[in-house]
Amino acid sequence: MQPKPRVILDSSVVVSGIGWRGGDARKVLTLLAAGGFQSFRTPWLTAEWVETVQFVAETERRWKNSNWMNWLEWLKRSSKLADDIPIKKTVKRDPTDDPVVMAAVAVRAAFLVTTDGDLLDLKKPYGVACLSPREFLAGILRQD
Amino acid sequence: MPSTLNISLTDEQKGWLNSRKESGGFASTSDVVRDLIRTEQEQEKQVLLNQFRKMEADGSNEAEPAAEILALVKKIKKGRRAA
Repeated sequence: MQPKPRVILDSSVVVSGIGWRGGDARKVLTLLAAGGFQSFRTPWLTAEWVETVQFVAETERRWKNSNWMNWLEWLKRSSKLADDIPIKKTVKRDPTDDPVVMAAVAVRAAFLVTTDGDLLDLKKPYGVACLSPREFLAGILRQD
Repeated sequence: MPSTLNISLTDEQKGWLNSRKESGGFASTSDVVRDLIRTEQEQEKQVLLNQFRKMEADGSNEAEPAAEILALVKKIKKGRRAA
């Protein structure tokens, strides 16, 4: 059996998937729950997931998921932990995105799923395909 | 590629592994440990799937404000890099 693809979920997808149940980001989390791909995380990325979800949950008035802490715990347990690697400057338009690209490199991810245009425009840095949730879902379904 | 991990066990745990190797028809104690990990992973997968099913209805069913979410995420990322 072919191993499931290794994937890094950007914080933008994590926030959308936990906070809104009708969108493509939630479908990505549903696919993870069904074992459709392997999610990976590093300590840096994990802390970023937690901070961003907490911040959006506390500041965005349209946020409706009061169970977000359990969602984060579920996502952490569903994602294999790898070590961080030193950060290289990669995303010229927004260097704050460099750590997530480095996380993808660290875990030898095939895909980085994000809604961030700065990352999507990179296309395939270090061989990691940056895809929107919709593109990722379409690609995975094609493979199956 | 397989990698080697050295772990410390009590005599009792080592005895249990050897006994399991014999009774389970395993070729080595490494095979016993790999089998235990596989079993634990399968159980955890089921637990996580059940947990997900219980949470599936959480969250807003409105259209997500994608641009606003991204702006908030970028704000946090910027703060983290500056720290």
